[in-house]
Amino acid sequence: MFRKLHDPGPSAVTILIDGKAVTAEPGENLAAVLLRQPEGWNRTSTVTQSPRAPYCMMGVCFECLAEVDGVGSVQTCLTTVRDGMKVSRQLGRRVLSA
Amino acid sequence: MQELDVIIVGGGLLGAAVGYGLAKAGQKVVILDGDDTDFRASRANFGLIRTSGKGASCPEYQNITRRAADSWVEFARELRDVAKTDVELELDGGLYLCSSASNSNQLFYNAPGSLESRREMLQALHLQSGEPEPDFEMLERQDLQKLMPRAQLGADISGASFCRRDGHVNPLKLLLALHTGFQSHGGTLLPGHRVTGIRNEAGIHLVTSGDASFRAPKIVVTCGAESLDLARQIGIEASLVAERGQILVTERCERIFPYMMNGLRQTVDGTVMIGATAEKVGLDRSTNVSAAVSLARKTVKLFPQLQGLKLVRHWSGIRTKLERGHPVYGSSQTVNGAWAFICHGAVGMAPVHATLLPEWIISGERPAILQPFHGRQVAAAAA
Repeated sequence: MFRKLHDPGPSAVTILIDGKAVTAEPGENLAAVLLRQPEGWNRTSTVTQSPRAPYCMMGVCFECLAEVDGVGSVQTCLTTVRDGMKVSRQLGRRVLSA
Repeated sequence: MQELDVIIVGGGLLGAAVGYGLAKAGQKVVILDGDDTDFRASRANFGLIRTSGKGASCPEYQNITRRAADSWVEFARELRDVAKTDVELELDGGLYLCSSASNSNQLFYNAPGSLESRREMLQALHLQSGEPEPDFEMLERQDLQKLMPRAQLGADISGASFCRRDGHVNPLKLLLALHTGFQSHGGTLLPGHRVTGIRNEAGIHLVTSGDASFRAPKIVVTCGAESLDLARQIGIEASLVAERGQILVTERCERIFPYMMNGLRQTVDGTVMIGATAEKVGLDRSTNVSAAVSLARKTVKLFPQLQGLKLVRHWSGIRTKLERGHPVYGSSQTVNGAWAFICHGAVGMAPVHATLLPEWIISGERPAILQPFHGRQVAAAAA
């Protein structure tokens, strides 16, 4: 649904989303990167497992949660991409066991 | 409004349970409930059904809490059938964590103490109960760990007591079920009707709420921390300890706690509830960050894997604790047909509140098992 307008060129960074390499611009908002993937969603809800996407883009709705570099329930709209960042879509409830 | 049999003042867990039982028995009942600006202890509840540790020096209280817990499965089934509400009852037993660290912090409610002192206390209560077999066992650390394989015990946890008759329930769903059941049996629930006056005229109670007034031969006062004034007006005196409890609620996560514990329980949908402070601050229901920090720190010490969990709620409530340590189930000796019921722990006691108390109100005969729970008698306040 979303398409990036600006091409970062050689300064582009690469992040992994569920193991798939994705190009992003330095300083780009992680929730925006997730929104412009074909899937569009970043988590499934904890009770009904319904797919959810970022909504408020300002840190108050908690829909944009994903696992980032091994930490669950990270608000991706408050996260800036970093080269080599590993993102996993969060399915249902947060996992606690090691 | 049609002729009423009973007016109940206060529609929290206690009042709603009594109303439910009365309406089920065919009585015409109105519950006058307050507003969200009232103390509303029933909405700040942790949801525990705990008999373990209760009733020291009051064997009758020990008796009725156990009786209530043992009636819970049947009661939940009834609520599911009548009110079409699943109150999420889990009655597989309850743990009380013990710690090897010295507990000098007075801030917390039901903080872990030593394994040995817990054992001694429970053994004494078991002897008082006269039951043939104890309903608890003591678990050393390694056995406790086996009981919850997905949880990683913090270093200070030395073990726990496990009481087979305890458990937990969703207190908000319980309140909803009681309200729904009450209404489906023909009861009238009126929120936003704080009671401003009670008068007795020739055996009929006249109850006013703003411009509205209600008349009935019987009145029951069940408004928690605010019961004292109204109870006094019907000749019943009690002393409360105003104690605040602050609670934290986390995001939903995978289920690692199979049993409820002192100050920690995990709900069916994965929410972890973290409790609680015990603060003598009067009738002050505000929350503060320092309590949230203390609660979070103590929880992470107990279970380090909870460290990164997000907190989503922080609330507080005033415990309706009687100074004497057990409930007041009082009937007025000076005014006819008037009762005041004040208790802490109306979740666990709900099955008894929904049966014994209505039977008493209908028959006028105090059940023998409730003999020791009368309030202090005073002259009813002048009309």
